[in-house]
This record gives sequence, C-alpha cells and structure tokens, in this order.
Amino acid sequence: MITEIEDVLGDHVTAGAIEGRSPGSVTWQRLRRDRITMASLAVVVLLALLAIAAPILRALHVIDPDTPHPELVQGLGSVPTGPFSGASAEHWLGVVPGVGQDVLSRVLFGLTFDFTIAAAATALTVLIGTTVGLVSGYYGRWVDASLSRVTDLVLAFPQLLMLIALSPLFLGQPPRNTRVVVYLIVVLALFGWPYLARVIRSEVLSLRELEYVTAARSLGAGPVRILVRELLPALRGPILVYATIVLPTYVSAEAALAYLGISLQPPFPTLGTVLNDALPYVTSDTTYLLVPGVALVLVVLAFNLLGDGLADAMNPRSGQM
Amino acid sequence: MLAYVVRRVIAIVLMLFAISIVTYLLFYAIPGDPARLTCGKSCTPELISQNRQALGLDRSITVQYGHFLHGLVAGRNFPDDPELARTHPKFITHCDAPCLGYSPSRQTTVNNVMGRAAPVTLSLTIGAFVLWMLVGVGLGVLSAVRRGRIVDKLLLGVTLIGYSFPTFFVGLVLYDIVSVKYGLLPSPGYVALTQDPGGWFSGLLAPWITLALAYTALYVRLTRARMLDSLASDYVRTARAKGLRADQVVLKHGLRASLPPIMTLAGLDIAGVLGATAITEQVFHLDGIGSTVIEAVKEADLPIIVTGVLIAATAVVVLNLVVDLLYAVVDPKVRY
Amino acid sequence: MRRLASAAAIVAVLVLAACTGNGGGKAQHGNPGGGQQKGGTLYVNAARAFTHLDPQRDYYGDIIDFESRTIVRTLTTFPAVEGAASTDVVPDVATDTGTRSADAKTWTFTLKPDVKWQDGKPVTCADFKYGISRTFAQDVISNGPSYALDYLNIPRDDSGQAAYNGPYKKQGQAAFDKSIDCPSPNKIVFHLRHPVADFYQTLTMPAFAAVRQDKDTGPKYDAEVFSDGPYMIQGSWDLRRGGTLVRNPNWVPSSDNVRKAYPDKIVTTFGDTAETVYQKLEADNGTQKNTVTTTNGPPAAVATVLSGPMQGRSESVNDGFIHYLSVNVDKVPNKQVRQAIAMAVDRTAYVTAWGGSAAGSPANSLISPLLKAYTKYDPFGVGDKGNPDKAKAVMQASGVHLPYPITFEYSKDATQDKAATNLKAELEKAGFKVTLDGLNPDTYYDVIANPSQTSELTWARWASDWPSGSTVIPPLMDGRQNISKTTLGNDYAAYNDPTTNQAIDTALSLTDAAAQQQAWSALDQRVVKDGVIIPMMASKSVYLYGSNVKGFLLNAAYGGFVDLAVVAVQ
Repeated sequence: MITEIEDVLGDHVTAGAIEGRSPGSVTWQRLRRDRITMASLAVVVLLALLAIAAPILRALHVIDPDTPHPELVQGLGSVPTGPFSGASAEHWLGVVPGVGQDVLSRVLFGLTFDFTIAAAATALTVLIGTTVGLVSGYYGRWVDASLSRVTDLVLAFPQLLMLIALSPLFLGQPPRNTRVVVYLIVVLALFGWPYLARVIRSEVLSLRELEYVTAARSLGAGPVRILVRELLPALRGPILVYATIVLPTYVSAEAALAYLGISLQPPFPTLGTVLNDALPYVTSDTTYLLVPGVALVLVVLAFNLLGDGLADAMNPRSGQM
Repeated sequence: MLAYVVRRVIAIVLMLFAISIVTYLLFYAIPGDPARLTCGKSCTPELISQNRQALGLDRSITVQYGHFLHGLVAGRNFPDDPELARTHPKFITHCDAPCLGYSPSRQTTVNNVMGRAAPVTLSLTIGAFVLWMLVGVGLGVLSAVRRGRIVDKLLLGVTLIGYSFPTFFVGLVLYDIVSVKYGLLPSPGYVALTQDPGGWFSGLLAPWITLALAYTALYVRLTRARMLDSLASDYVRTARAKGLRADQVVLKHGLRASLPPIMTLAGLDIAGVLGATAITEQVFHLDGIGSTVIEAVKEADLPIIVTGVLIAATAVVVLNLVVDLLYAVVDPKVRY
Repeated sequence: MRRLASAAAIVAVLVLAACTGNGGGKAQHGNPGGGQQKGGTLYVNAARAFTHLDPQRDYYGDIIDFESRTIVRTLTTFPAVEGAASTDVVPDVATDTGTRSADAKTWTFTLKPDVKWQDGKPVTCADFKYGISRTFAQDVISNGPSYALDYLNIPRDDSGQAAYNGPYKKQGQAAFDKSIDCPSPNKIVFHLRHPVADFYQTLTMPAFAAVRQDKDTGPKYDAEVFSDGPYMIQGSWDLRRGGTLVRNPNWVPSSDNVRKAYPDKIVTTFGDTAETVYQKLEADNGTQKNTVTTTNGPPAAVATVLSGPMQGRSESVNDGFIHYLSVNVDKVPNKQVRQAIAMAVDRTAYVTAWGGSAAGSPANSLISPLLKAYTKYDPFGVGDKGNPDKAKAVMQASGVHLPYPITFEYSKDATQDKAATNLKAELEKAGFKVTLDGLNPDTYYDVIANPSQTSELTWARWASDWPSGSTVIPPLMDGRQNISKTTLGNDYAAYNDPTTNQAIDTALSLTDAAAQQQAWSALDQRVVKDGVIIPMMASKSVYLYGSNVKGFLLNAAYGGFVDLAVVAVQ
C-alpha cells in the first residue's frame, strides 16, 4: 500500500533543486493555495498540540483518564446512566460503560500514546531507510547490490504480520508496558524502512550525476560530506512526504494490534484500546464508539490529505492541464 | 528472455533460502525457551522437556534447521520416537514431504492446518483484489475524466475516508450491523468454491468489501494520477486533435498507458496484503492463513507462526517475479 | 497435575434463583414435558470452543453439560429439571445410584443391559474401568479432573502420587486393577482410599465415563469420541470450529430416563465473539431461530437481551461460580496488609464492571450461596462497598511502608480490564501502589499456578464440581494436594496452613453430610478472615435463544448451561 508513494514521488520531486527559486518556497506557495491541504495541516497541528497537552492537562487535574466512577454506569448491563454515554458538564463526551472513566480524557491520552509511538517509529524508519538508500544509491556496485538484496529480503516480510507473529516471543507473559512501547516502535520501523530505502536509492541514483554533486566531488569533498551536506537536503521532500504518509499507517497498526490484544495494560489508554473497548457497544452505547472512532479516522485522514498535498505541491507537473 | 527468467528464478530460490534462515534465526535463536511457548495450557516442566524432545528443540539450531530442510524433502514423524511407534502406532503422526512441521496446539501437521487454510486466504485475497482493482481503477478513471469537479472531489474524499477506518472496525460493522442486524449483506462465512459457488460468493462478499476498502482509495488516487499524466502526454493530445471520440481517447490511450505501472504496484500489494487479510479473517472467523497465525500467536504455537511467515514471504517474492515477468511481456521497452 | 479453576457444576440446594426470568412471554419455558417434538436441527453457537471433547480431559461446565447430554453417558447423572432439583443425582448407565459400604470406601453399581456403543456393542464394566484408567496417563490425557487419582485405592509413590501411570505405559497396572473390580461385565466395584460419602455424585463427571479400548486414539480421541449416548459425531469434529452430531442408531431410548433427544441433528459452531453470537441471536434469522448458545450474554448485550422483544427468548440463572481474589501469603506475609486489601475492595463496583445485577451479586464467601455449606457473614464489617479509609488505617497501624506495592494478575479481556481498573483505584486509596497484569486468558491458570511467576494478588473463579463443599475447600485450599516445587495447583495464595489442612482431613472423614458441610463453611470463614481469599461476586448468566427453540432449560447442576437433554426445535 505504501508502494504507491514510490510511484507518486517518482523522479520529479528533486527537479525543483535545479530551479532558480528555492524549492521550499515554491512548495510553500503552492501549499498555501491548496485549501484542503492547509485544513489538514491545521488538523494535524491541532491533534499534535492536544497530544502534547494531554499529560500537562492531567498533571493540572483538568483531565483524568483513569479514575473510575461506577456510580455513573448503572444502566442495564452497566451502560452509562443518561443519554450520549452519560455526557455531562463534568464528562463532555460521556463515560466508559462498566467503569465510568471520562471518555474525552482517555481519547486525548490515547492520542498522546499513538502520536508518540508512531512518531518515534517513523523517525526510526526514516533513519534506517534514508541511510540505507543513501549509501546504496551513492556507492553503487556491490554495496548497492548487497543492500538491495537485504532490502528485498526485509520487504518480503509483511509488516503487520510480523508485528503479530513476533509478539509472543518478545512481549512475553506478562507483557510490560515499556516492552510493548519498545516492541511497537522497533518492529514497526524494522519492517517499514525498505520502501523508503528504495525511494531514496532511486533518487540518489539520479542526483549523484547532477552537476552540483560532481562539482562537490571534484572539489575534494568526502563521501560523508557529500551524502549529508549535498544529497540529504535535496531529499527532504520525499522524506517528508513519506513520513507524513507512513505515520498514520503506524497509528492504524497500533489499533489493529490492540484489536488482537497486543497493547498496553489498563488503565493506560491508547486509541486502539479505547476503540476496541467501545466496539461491543455499537448498538447499546453508540456515542462511546463514535468518539475514539472519529479521533482515529481524523488522524489517518488528516495526515493522508496532508501527505497528498505535499506530494502535489512538490511535483512540478501538478498545475499542468 | 529465457536467460532472464532462469536468472530470476535462481535468484528467487536463493532468496527463499535466505528468508527461511532469517525466519528460523528470528524465531528459534532468540533468548527464551520456544519449548515453553509450545507448551501452552497446563505446562509442567515434564511436559516442556517432553515437547522439547518431541519437536527436536533439544538439538542445536543448525540441527533443527537441518531437520526442517530434511522434512521438506523427505517428510518426518512426530514425535520421532521409534519406541512409541512400535507400542502405540496410533499416537504417531506422519508428515509427508514437503513437511512444514507439527503443531503442538492442534496436534496435527502444519501441512494439514495450512492446507485447509490456504484456499480460504486465496479466495479472500483474489476476490478482494479483483474488487479493489475494478472499483479503484474504474473510479480513478472517472475521477481523472471529471478532474476538479464535484464528482472527482467526492470520490477522492469518500474513498479516503473508507481507507481511514481500520480494517477490523469496518469488518465488525459490516458483520454485526450490516449483515447480522439488518441483513443487508449475506451472512459471512467460507464454503469451498467447488462445493457451492453461490455460497462461496455470498459468504465472502462482506470480507471482500472489508479488505478491498483498505486499498480502493489508493488505487483511485493512483489511477487518477496516472491517467492525468497520460492524458496530458503528447500522443493523447495528438489523438484528440485527430478527432477521436473522448471516451475512446480515455480508454484506448489513457488507460492502456496507465495500466502497466498500476499492475506492477498491484502485484506488490497483493503479495504484501497478508497482514490485512489476517485481520479480516479474524473478524469474519474465516480459517485462513492469517487467522491461523493469530490463533497460533495466542497459543504460542511456533511451527504454525513460522510457517505462516514463510508462506507470506514466499508469496511476496514469487509474486514479485511474476509481476516483473508480466511487465517484461507487456512492456517491450524493458530490457533483460 | 492439578486442576484449573473454572470447572463444572454447581449445585443448588437453597432457593435457586434459576430462571429469574424477566416477566412474561415464556410460553415454553420450564415446561420440558410439553410441546416438544422430535426432529429438526438444533444449532449450538458458542464463542469459546469446546477445548476437550475427550471425556477424561473435559473439565468445563459447558462441555461437560454438552457431552453428557449427547455422546457420553455416565453411571449416574443430573436430571434435566429446573432449579435445585437438578442436583438430585439419578442413575444413568447404572440401574441405581449405587450401594456403598458402611465406611463409604467401597461402592458397587450394576449396569443396565441395553446401553450400547454406536457400533451396537454393549457398554461393559471393562469399558468404564478403561476410561477411568486414562486419567492416570497424565502425559497424554492432560487437563482433566484428578479425582480418580486422589480417590481410588492405589498405593502412593514417594511423592505421594498414585503409583500408576495409565493404560499406555502400564506401570502399576496391577495396583489399578485392584482398585476397580469387574466381577461380571455388568457389575462394577470401586475401592476407595478414604471415605467418600458423595462418590455417586463424583461419578456424574465425564472423567468417570466409559471409553472403548479399541477406539482409544490417545491424544487424538479429543476429536474422535466414540459415543454411547443418543448422538454420535458425524464425520470429523474440529475442536476449534465444532462439528455435527447425528442420532446414534444403537441408542436405546428405554435405557435412558434423562435424555429426550428431540432434535435429529445438532450442529455446533465456535469462534464468533460473544457480541456476534448475541447479535445473531437478536436478529433471529434463518438457522438462528433454531440456535442456543453456551456463551452467556456479554455486558454490552445485556441491556438489549433483558429489555423489549428479546425478553421472551431469554433466561438468566445463578450459575454457581464465585469470583475471588487470592492474596499470596508468601509475598504478603503480613496478615493485616492482607486484611486491608479485603477491606478496601468495592464488590459493588466489581459487579458493575461485569455488567451489573444481571451479571451477579457481591459475594462474601468462597462457597456459593447455592450450596448447603454456605453461610452469610461479613468478617470485616465493611459491607459490600468496602471501606478504603478503614483499610488505610489498618495499613498505617501495621507499620508497613506506604505506598505498599502490589501486582494484580487477572485473565485479560475488556470486562476484566474494567474490574481491575476499579480495584486499582480502591486499593490506591487505601495506601497501595497497584500494577495491573492482564494475562493471556488461554494460558492464564497455568501462569498463575507457576510458583516463580506469582504476584501479590490474583484473580480466579471457581464452581463446585458437585453440590458439596468437598469440591471447593479441599481443591482450592489444601496446600498439601496443591503445592509442589513446580506448581501451586489451584492454591494461588500458596496457602499451606497445618491447622487448615488438619481441619480438611477431619471434614473429609465425616460421614454425616450436614456436619461435613458445616465444617466446610467454618473453613471458608477461616481463609476469608485471614485475608487469604477475598470473595468478590456470585455470578449469574444471561442467555438468549432462537424463536423456534422449545423447552429451553438452564441446568443449575451443570453451571447453568442449556440442557440439551430436553431442548427441541419446532
């Protein structure tokens, strides 16, 4: 599914590097004209701010994702007393059936968790993928050949399947929360980097013969300097787009794993665990299902639209026709 | 061409070999006791050591890997105990070549388990693939033709929203609400195609939709982008200038030029789909390879997990080859 | 090997609120005598698969109930009637409920002549003897109840285990042969190691059922049970997904006073989530009209099931299970700390997490209110809601350092996560620092029984195997029979108290039933007062069934599961 990005990015992204104006400003001007992308950027920023704010708000006792209120869930089958999941001035989006925790607080904290692991895994993915792609593309020959085989090898293992398959080995019994966090980040990145490595490699292949690179080389710049100072800046575009599109897939993966029970121990909420907990209540407490559902969809949707917009803005062909 | 094919096939065989070694190392060489994992319920130290022996886990990893390779070629007995074979032949399970191992939690060979699971996963994957390609490419073309209009934006938006819902969420809503509660979709389940084609189709409809939804949005966007490219290309402009009808231009030239790269990506996606199928199978209780692996994870049944991973990796590698070969056939520009 | 908690049957001796029903609309309910006709297909759809069909390995109420009514017959059984009467054991393969010697150590039964296997051969004493012998082959026939190991008069080895390892390896076969006597094919004599006044009740368990030696396939018998009941397995049985039972042509109805065997066919399917099972039953389409389930209504479904049009198709029952917490005495040696935990917990919040009054009521004893041995008491005077402040005062007085760290282990699912969340909050109010460890339900009881993995606080639930405190206190609290180097058995508190053990011996030797039950109640109060066991909830089950199902009956003796002996479809 991420393979699409390779295609969308194509070999056009870096073409901007040889234009007169800096590619960044061109891109930004294009972006500002694109209302949908700007709106999704705003949503992404808002969600990120909420994710950062949640632990602070908790420390200030503004939100409380943990404390049970059994007295608020005395309906048949322990659903919240009152309509809309028992929404009130105290609990804006209602409380959790059976236990009475504040739903809004839990979703905000879930955002914090999901953003943290997804961002960390994305960073690790980018680190590995870019390094391998750069080295592979720049050195060519046997380095490229062997790294490409490794990339192919890792690519053969579907990421989600590996997340599931490796869990009994690395999470153990009982699964500690810190272990789960490390496991998610590492395994997501470990089976997620090859796509980016491929994109970067093909970019580098075309870049390394460009004049400014050959010029730098003839001036005696070492390979590390060329890779980091000359090539890497030109690759910011594809890396940014890739990161934007891969991050929400990691959030989705977290939710899918939570569905399979591979997640944090309670009472710590993640978007996935809150959503999963709400699934059985699809008929008896629909509001409860909607809140984490909408939050998750918003994250995935906003990041994808933003990624699309970024790719479009960086693509010199867009705007034709 | 032949030389190219031969070269690729040899490379694939080497790759599969490497995959099997990596998988083995990953699952059997890590710290921890796989025998404890294979023990499952009511584990006692005696049972652990018994399992360790029965599964050959008391040997070194290289010997175990050797057993695995030997089993692939010549088959194996579980447990491999001549004494027991003599006294209670009924307790011995023979596993014919290519033997993939023995599942302690299911007390049968992995071949049996996966043999039953494979048709389910194949049916699910191929059906969903056809669905997402038809719908995705179709809507993509429509979107490209109506570029910038309401239809275009609506299509992109709606499919993207569909994509944004997690697979398990879509699946459960389709199952519990759409199918069971309101009866708008036939009740999901798996019947063999050969046994009852109608039942096969109706039982898989909801799972197909669920799985396809995760991909449709991507193909709508991909097709749209490709179509826009090729519609803007010189020869399409020429065709248009020559007065060809609009729909002919779109279909004959635009789509034809767009299809090969789409198919390439599709080939890769269908191979990598096994994670998403696992979730779909789990939601709809289809006994495919993915849900079998998930069940095995709960029971820590390593032979099944390892085989599931191997099957997935093999599928990716083989389909990669198929795509490359197809591409070579379709696009004469490709050099071998 | 020792048994997991969860197990089978209960007994209702007091007023069993079985079938508390919810108002009208129960035309067929509790009416096993009228309206049912033979024929049709009954569907059983359950979330949890029947893990073992092998009678000697089956130790769960739903499976015991299912197979006892269809493919496995026992010497005695529970009648298919409503309420407390279901625990009055009746003869099944035997002609009566047996003759016991004065010391209750020798039991003799006569077999009915026309009880047949599915191939028409008669069921004999040798078949019962062989079946029971399989329990001793613990390496192959794992997970089953171990009463045979404990009760039969077989010499002990050094470790105190019976010196017989089953019919496959046959070490100690001669000793076993002496413990069960077959004077003739239709007569069976059991020689027991100590008095067992209720042994005729023990024999209701499928673990004491017959197995034909020539049909025994060891570990594979789980899916190949050879039937002597009214139904038999058609084709192959898939332990995970279920299978189909059809009529056993050699079953003689006149030999069977319990099983009416109305449906022609019983199709069993597993694997849906509990929520989906109930969504399907609520929709009541197609085959769902003919469907019953052994999965009780999950909290999210309870509201729908107990209201509106569903009422007429639902039943609820006190199922006899007691949920309780064990406080590990090695990890929490300070009695006051243990008692503080017991004072802090809020049983009403626990019940709420499980779905409210439809799911159960607060419990104060390990012995179910359904048993004669039950006594109501409140050892700490904190009521059902508990009192964290009082607990905190006790903690402070005990001189331990606060906050006191404890880890709580439980079998993880959405409901238990919530109950655990409540507990954590209550205990932290009382000065504890609580870490929650939700464990994989599939291996839960093995993990918590592992002495190297124990935590301070552990969740479990238990129901008696037959209506007696003898199947609650000794299996849970006798450290001698539970604890070894490798396992805690069912004694997750690692409790091995000489005084308690001695009292258990005394109680077991009593031949007066009433005095014995009183002794069990005294022991119950002792472990609760010591803060070793914290009873939480006496659970209830709610079930929904299809609109064509007639004679729906929840059998309290089997843990409140649907009794297939009398269920028919229209």
